[in-house]
Amino acid sequence: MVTVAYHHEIPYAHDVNGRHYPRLTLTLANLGDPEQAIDLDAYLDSGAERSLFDGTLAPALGIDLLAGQLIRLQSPTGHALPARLHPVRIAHALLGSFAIEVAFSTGHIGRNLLGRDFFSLVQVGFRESRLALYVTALP
Amino acid sequence: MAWRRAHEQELGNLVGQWVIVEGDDLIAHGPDPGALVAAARVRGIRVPYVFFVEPFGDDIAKLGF
Repeated sequence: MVTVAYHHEIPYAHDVNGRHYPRLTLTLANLGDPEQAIDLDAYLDSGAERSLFDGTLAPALGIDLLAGQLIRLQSPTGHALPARLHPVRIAHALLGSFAIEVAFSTGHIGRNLLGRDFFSLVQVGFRESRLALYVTALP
Repeated sequence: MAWRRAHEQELGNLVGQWVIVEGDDLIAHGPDPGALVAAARVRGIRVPYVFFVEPFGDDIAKLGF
């Protein structure tokens, strides 16, 4: 028996058509200029190696999108999505804030993802039968 | 976000657009989130909440990307 304790239970986000998704509302900020910040939604994606945000949001954070290191993100279709890496600060009301390097797509994607880089900072459990997330910020 | 739950029908008219909501108010919508955020900040919203309205339907299931 393995037991993992979590500090918070968060219901999945309700979406249109009565569907529910493991999604968090976060504050995403420019690491060097915290005043450049937006609130947004991001889906928890344990299959994603990197967290990924829509690159069209970068100007709203004062981030020069193409100045970041190029990375190619491979989708299940085999196509590579080009993106650029940038350091940001992610903050969540229950989990605190984290400095993290994330990818911004160089084209529009519309859906932001929290990947395993985020999961290395936060212990996350999914309970699909209850449409709930269990989370704890790691020390 | 409570607004999204309370305005599902309105969201149907905003598919393919970025939206900024503050409390119960729809602040702005359009194709360029950077412009929307800038407009929201001019209105005094320091950290705007911005989201994209994806197509939805019974024949659509979401993957990561």
